[in-house]
Amino acid sequence: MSSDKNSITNEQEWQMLGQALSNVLQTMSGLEAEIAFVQPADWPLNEIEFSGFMVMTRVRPSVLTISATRPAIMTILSYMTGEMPDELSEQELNDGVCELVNMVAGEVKSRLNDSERAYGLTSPIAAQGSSLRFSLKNGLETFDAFVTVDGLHLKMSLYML
Amino acid sequence: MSKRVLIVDDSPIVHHLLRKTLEAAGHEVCGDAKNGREGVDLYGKLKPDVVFMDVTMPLMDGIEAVKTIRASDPAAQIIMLTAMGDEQIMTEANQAGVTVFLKKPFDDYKIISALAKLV
Amino acid sequence: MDQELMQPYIDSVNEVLQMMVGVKVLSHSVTPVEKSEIMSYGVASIMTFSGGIFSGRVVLDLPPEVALKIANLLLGEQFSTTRERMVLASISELNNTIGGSANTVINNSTGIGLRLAPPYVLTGDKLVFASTKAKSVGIMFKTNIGFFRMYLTLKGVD
Repeated sequence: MSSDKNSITNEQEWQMLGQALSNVLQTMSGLEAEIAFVQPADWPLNEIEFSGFMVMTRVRPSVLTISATRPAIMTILSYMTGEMPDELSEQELNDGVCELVNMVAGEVKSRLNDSERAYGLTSPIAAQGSSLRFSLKNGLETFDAFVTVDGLHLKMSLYML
Repeated sequence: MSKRVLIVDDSPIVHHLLRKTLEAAGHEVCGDAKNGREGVDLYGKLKPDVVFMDVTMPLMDGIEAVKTIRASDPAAQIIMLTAMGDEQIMTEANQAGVTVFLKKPFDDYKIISALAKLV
Repeated sequence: MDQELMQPYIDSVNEVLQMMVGVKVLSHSVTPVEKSEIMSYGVASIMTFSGGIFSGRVVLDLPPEVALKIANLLLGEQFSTTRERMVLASISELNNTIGGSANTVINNSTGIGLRLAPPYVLTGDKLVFASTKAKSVGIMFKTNIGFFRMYLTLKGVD
């Protein structure tokens, strides 16, 4: 990657976020993440039940989301907190997905602080529900990562204005 | 008098609403662009009488698009239509060369009155 | 939250609904939000804004039937499900206009310079949204086509 922080492209920023997600999962839960940038054929699209959202504020803002199936977020949080998966409350699961997106965006923020791509972070928001759908305006540059952790599924997306 | 209008906005709703209002008033929507870059390209190809331009859009924002259009056609008639209409944005828009600045929300009267103000 | 900062959003809801969809707000009531988790009515549009040390969020939370009525009135069409993209885009545009209009008033009176991020809309069955890191106020609006709630969060000004 270029050493000139002002020449970082959208794709490079996206790669940094992907790397940050791996680091966060590894550091916080000890789990290894496999990341694919093309949707695998067997991806359980309809089983996503938790999403965390964070807006990266700058002249051209971006929205970062991490979505997970219930077993995935339960497992990750269980490793992170040391609690048994079925002891985790709904509030903890929502808080966990917020923390995940907060940590990933925060890690990259510190690396871009003195570049023209520096951003601020708003407080994260979690959404939980079955048949969860998310709609953003057309025309945003979109990046998707399909993440498998311990056989479980997460998706990270970045929407750039 | 009927005008040929180019709409540049990333919201499909704004395209829909403006088209309905303009066509009902006898104007022609000759082009739809989803961002500033498309707007600049279509302006060059279509040479519309008037452009309705949003501010915040992907790829190229409205202020930048107005500057680019103005540089190629100093007589361009551009109506800026935006949800954010504070003094700083209005100043930037005026400096870029916007002809009329409109704040959302809007209704038919606001749109047709703005068009009537243009030469 | 300071009434002076909340009032532009209340005024904006009144103005935008009246002008863009011909809907009249009959009354509104403000309540603090004690829980971090909120059971949504079904359609939630979230718009974030920031400027300087301030950031905030406007969430419009609507029952699906109210979201449909708004989209139908706005576009003059008959949508039957909130799964239609134009229904969600209508709610996004409405929130964008409400937030933009209110922030314009705040910017002009305070010089803060708040700017909007692209709004997004969430739908789902038994949709819950949660934010543990920021306090909100809830404002319930009753209109001639039904009720909806706005959650307003402003950080840096509590």
